[in-house]
Amino acid sequence: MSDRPRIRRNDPDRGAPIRDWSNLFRSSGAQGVSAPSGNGVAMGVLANELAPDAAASGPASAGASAPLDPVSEEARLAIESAYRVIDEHLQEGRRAAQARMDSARATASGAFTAATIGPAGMGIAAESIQEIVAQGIRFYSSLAPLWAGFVNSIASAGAPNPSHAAGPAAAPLAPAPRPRNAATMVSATITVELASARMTRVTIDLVPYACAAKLATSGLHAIEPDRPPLQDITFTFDVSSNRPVVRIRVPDHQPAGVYSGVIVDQDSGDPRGAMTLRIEP
Amino acid sequence: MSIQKPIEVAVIGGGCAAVTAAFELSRPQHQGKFHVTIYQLGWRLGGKGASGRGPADRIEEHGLHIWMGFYENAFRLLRECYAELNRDPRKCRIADWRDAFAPAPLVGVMDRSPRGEWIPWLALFPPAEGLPGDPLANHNPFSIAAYLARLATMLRVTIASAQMRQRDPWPGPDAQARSDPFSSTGSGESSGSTTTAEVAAAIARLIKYGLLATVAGLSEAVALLEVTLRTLPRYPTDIIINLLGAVGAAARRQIEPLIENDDELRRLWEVIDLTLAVMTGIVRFGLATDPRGFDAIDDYELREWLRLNGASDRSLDSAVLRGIYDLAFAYQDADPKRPSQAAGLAVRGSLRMFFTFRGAFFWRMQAAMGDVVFAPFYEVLKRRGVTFKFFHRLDQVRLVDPSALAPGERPYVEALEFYVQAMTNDGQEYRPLVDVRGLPCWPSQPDFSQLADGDRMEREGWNFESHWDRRKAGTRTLRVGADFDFVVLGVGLGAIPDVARDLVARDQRWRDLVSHVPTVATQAFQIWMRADMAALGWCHWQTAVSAFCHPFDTWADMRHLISEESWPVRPRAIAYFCSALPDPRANGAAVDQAAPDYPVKQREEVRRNAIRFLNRDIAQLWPAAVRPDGGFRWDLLVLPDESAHSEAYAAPAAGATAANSGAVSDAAGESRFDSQFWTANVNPSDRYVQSPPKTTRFRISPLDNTYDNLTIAGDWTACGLNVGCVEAAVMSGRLAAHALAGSPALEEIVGYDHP
Repeated sequence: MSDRPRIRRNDPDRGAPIRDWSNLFRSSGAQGVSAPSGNGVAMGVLANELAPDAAASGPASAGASAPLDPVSEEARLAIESAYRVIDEHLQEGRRAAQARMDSARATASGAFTAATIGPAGMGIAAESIQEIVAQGIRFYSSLAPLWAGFVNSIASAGAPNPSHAAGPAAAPLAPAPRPRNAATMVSATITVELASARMTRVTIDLVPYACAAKLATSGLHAIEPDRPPLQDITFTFDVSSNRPVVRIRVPDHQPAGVYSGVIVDQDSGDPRGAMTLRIEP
Repeated sequence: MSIQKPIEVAVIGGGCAAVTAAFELSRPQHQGKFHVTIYQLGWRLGGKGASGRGPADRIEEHGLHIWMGFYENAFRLLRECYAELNRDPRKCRIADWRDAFAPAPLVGVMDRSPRGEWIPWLALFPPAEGLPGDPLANHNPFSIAAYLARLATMLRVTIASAQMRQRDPWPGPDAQARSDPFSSTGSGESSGSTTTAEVAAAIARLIKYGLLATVAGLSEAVALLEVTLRTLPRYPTDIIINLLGAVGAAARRQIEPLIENDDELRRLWEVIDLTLAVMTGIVRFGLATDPRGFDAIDDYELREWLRLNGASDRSLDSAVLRGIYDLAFAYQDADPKRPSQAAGLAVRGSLRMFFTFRGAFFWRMQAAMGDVVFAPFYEVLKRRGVTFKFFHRLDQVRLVDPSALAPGERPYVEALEFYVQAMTNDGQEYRPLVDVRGLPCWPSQPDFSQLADGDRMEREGWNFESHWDRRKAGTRTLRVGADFDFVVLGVGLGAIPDVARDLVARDQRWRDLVSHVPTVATQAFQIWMRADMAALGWCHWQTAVSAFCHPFDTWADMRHLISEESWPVRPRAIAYFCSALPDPRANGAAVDQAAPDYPVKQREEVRRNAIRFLNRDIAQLWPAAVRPDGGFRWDLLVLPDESAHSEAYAAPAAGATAANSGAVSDAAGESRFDSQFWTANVNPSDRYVQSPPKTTRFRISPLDNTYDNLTIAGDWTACGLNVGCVEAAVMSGRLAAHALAGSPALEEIVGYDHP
């Protein structure tokens, strides 16, 4: 080989991989670097194998304007709805806090009212605590089904459903239970054993994996502070039916009304749901 | 009409990366634009994948090689190679790539139980759709969100497995014992006839049942994760982290205390725990949208990163994780107590390994790697007109004197200086392959009869592959413009300081490369045995197993190669072992590796390691391979020159015990090991390239154009995968070809643009 002018190679279009997920969807087969081709590039065999949903929503990864598949759209709407409701609750909480602050200011000025003082003989401190507890109960009572509804909405895309109440005196909860597999039944169903001399409606909302935990409740309380709480409530586990059991005994002298409380994970104390009893007169 | 001269490309080295570059540059589509010459030291191609046929045609490998089902680039090229080779199946038993590779869906690790026992744990990975190397409609169908979804699915399946595991062992017939202590009576107590022990047993079962309920609940939770993670960018990160945290906290708190006495459940839990940690880490570190992808966590050590994301100490020491480290020889200075691997590339590699394989998780070669990979490539490249120059040891990549550069001109390689280790008789082309019953193979030794003065070289024991044997028949200098235009430097990283002295001296990046990217020597041995694996006590399917004890953490049952070899007494089992090999130290200081006797001493070290391992540790794998008084049954080893009618080491009759099966004395027995094969891979270019944290940034890309007639190829380059393996080497070779020819397109290099 005789000497010839030195050949120089061209500069490459780039010198490193593109790790950014948003730039990955380029057309195949182009020489050198390709600009992102945007939406609408069909995913390949491997993509479909990897994650059908991801493949279906692949173009969406490359651009927000891509159409969503129905499942994802449903989940997205559920999430957004859930957040709107949560936001409402937060606003409600702020209003409640504002009310308490107003109440405190009124207390300081001596301008008590029956509404803020409560029953005769109850001091302001005890009243405030009771109100906070009541607010907390309401909050958790609302939040638990909200959370359950939230995950249930997501689960509607193919995942199992959250738990529902069942048992001799149980009323079905919204959303209505839907068919599920056996494995789901284990965790999504709770048996209610109710002993009550009067008509009583039980509503239980649990987060989906709540049945896996050792559940407990400190009792169900009425909004009215003069009514005694319902304390005779025990959670056990029924091996034969493969589901948790909650036993509720309503004393004969228990005043009629609505009682609600938080169901917690006995180990961690984390809220796992809420229970509401409506005792008819 | 003028005929344009082809561009002369000098490819230095004959490993996976270099051969890949040659294959790409010599494609017919280039219409002869490039003429490639491969310069290879010694007599064979292969680099760290080189192999040879030894006595009795036995296969002698550099190490233990199993291809993975995600090696898309490697399989694609190999399939193209076999298609172009077009062997006649009536004449050659390995005519197609499917003859060369067989699916191996079992993955095995040796699990150390809390009681100190070694227990094999084999997992069957069902075949995935397609075959590795099949065309992809899209070049890089990888996204972290898709991985998260797959992780969530795996989590659910694993939890379901744990659930089944818990359910199965429960006593079935004892209905009373399984009755609900919280019966419909609501008393919460057992009947009066129940004994205290029965009550205790019922409570214990109840606890287990609680566990079942827990995992079922977790299963439901992770099913939700599946849905959310598939559309990750649409959901606030906090929600997913909280959900992951809730799942993880509940699982860890409730499952972990209950697995002490259930090894299977413990292993499943370790997988669950690690999976949760990876998922949490991906979300918490924002990797799904980080423009650096997994590179963003390459400054973390894998274990450290997993721990940050909630993995337990138990899981961090699990067989599964140790297996991942073993796979990449990822131990600092080969010390098993100092595992070290960059988190990003380890996670990326693991995700690709577990979730993007096609066909089978592993693919097992049906002959030596040289036979099924490098011989076909050699033949195809020869047909294409590629020139091979064996016995060429690169001495120096010489850069142009900077003072000779024109203004604005980039530096370049001016000359390539070689030691010519041997000349062929009459200057004829060296024919490197041997025929083993119709299959072209590489021999374990050069064919001295083709070499000028070959008899003397053979008599004097010239070792052409030894870094320490510098004997040569002459020198040769290639000059730019006259002998080459472009250079593909495809030697191993360990050889760079030696052969690229100019580059290292002048360029800080190259100094950083060689000083920050570590390499480690490896060791391997192979034994051939007269008893089959079942008779040795291994009562499982054929597989490869890692995470075993050092000095040899990885073992492969290679029984399928028996028919490929030509033994007078046919072995019934073949076993390969390998691991990292520590560099020796004396008085706290590193031993001088330049000493002429260094490779001999290290080879002897491997021999000692192997014998000690067989005597001390092998019983954990093969309980029937040891004598009743301990120590390996050396009589099991088959010698290549053993007579078929040998009585001294006749195969034990069925039912024979170790005590009466012809055991020989320790000394005589151990000497039989000398007939087996072992290797200390201490040549600088043979050293395995590691990927500890904070080092990937020092890798140089084949696309780098600082020296405008030089590119690099090897699994040590910044090739996207950045882990020492065949796939990384092939990706690097394709990048090198792209750097010179603009082809293949980067989009066609599968996985290069992986997050």
